[in-house]
Amino acid sequence: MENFILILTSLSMFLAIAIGANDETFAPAIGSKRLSVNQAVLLGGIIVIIGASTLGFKVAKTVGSDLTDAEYTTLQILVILLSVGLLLILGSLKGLPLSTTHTMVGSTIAMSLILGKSDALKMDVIIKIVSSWIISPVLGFIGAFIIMKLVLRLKKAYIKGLDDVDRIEMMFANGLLVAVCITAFSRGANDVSNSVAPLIPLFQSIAGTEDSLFVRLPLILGGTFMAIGLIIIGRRVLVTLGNEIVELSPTTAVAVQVATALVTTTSASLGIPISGTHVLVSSFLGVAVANKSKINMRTVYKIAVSAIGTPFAAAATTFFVWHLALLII
Amino acid sequence: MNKKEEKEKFFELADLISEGGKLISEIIFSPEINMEKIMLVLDLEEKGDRVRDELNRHFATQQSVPYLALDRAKLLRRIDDILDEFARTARTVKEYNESLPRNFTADIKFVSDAIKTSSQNLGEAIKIVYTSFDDALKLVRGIEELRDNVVEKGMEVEAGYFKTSNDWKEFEALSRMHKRAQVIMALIKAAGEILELMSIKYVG
Repeated sequence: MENFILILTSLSMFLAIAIGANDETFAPAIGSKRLSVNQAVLLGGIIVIIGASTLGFKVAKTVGSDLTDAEYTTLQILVILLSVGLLLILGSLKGLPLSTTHTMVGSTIAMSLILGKSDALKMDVIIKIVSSWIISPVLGFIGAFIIMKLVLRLKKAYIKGLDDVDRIEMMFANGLLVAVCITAFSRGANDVSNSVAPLIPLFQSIAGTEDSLFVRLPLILGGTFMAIGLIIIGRRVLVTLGNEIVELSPTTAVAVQVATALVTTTSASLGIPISGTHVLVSSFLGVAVANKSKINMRTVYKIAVSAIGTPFAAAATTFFVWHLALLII
Repeated sequence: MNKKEEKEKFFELADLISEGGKLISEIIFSPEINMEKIMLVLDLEEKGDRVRDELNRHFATQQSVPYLALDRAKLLRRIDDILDEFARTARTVKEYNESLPRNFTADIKFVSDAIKTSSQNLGEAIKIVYTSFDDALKLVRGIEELRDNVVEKGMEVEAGYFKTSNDWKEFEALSRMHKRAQVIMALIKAAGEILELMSIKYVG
């Protein structure tokens, strides 16, 4: 039993590293040059740990134990974690921002289907999750569009000369930091669930309680390993996303971050797992459209393709890893 | 360097442009060589280079809001180009102006006046853009009108001398100085366009 917990926890931490490596929360701060890459990954790491340890528990319950009534064996859980981790690491190394939520849910559902346990899937929960994947980018786009329009009005009303530009951009640059930290906190809460969700029911069972420090231990460890992934590998995705969709100023970056923070914080507090990646990317687009900025459609296309393909890629990876595992065992 | 110091450096460059433009307008088409004024122009260019280097170092190390620094760096390059052209013109005056036709100055006076006015307008626009984009735009549009006028009429004057002059040296000197004047006006206009773009970008 101890060996099983150790293996499962190790694999979860591998997945946490993979998730951290694909965390693009600080991309706007880097794109607008408010933070250097080193500053961003260090600050992001600290905040992710805090978010994961506190608010992460509420989101973890949804993905882990409420998605399906099926009880997975040790091997099946290991296969899910390994599949998701592999896909995310691969994406990070290529600088692609993949959705950890899409990956995790796709893999979990795929495992149920592989085992012929589709009846155990809670369709109402799945529909709720899938709906949020469509709704959250739309909300991100609309929210960012509205916020950017308000910002533009503010600029037009208050900016007369360069002195005003300096003052307002500096104000927004400092405000950006606050918005980024809130988003990172929410993302930590949201994303840690993807790595440790299968562990929660296990730890609850061992502790004999639904919530305690021991039950939350996976979240604390998950947050820590996410921070490690962000610091070591995550910088590639951050630089790609921050610099390759649209040119950012502090004011446009704030609009992106505020919209993202609002959507992700609200979803995390309601226990709905959403794709922070797609909220962020759609916020970039909302801001760019409102500001009439040039959008790098090639990058947007790449991200859109990966967004649609991720759950299927996760399912395919799970299928492959499962059968490989069966061959080995 | 903080924002206030950066602004002061740009004000310094604006003063160099105004002063340089006035000096150039006085020597560019004058058949009499005034070495003192030529040396003043060359000094101005050296001063401009020192300020440029300080600002370039500042932009290179600035961590926050380089989005704004990029526009100012472009403006800085344009200003540097103008000061370089003033220096190049001063050196050309030293070599060629003694060959200028003696009655030429009156005909081409409108070009030297345009250089002086547009330099002063640009210097003022660089300073005023910090408090009012609208006022800076008005000055910049004035520069564009002056430049268009200089291009059209300047060519007429030069072509007129080509047809009537029998002295190739006179014409060559005239043509060189006129070309320098046109380049100066074009560079001043280009710097003004940067200010125009900044104004449009920040207020729409």
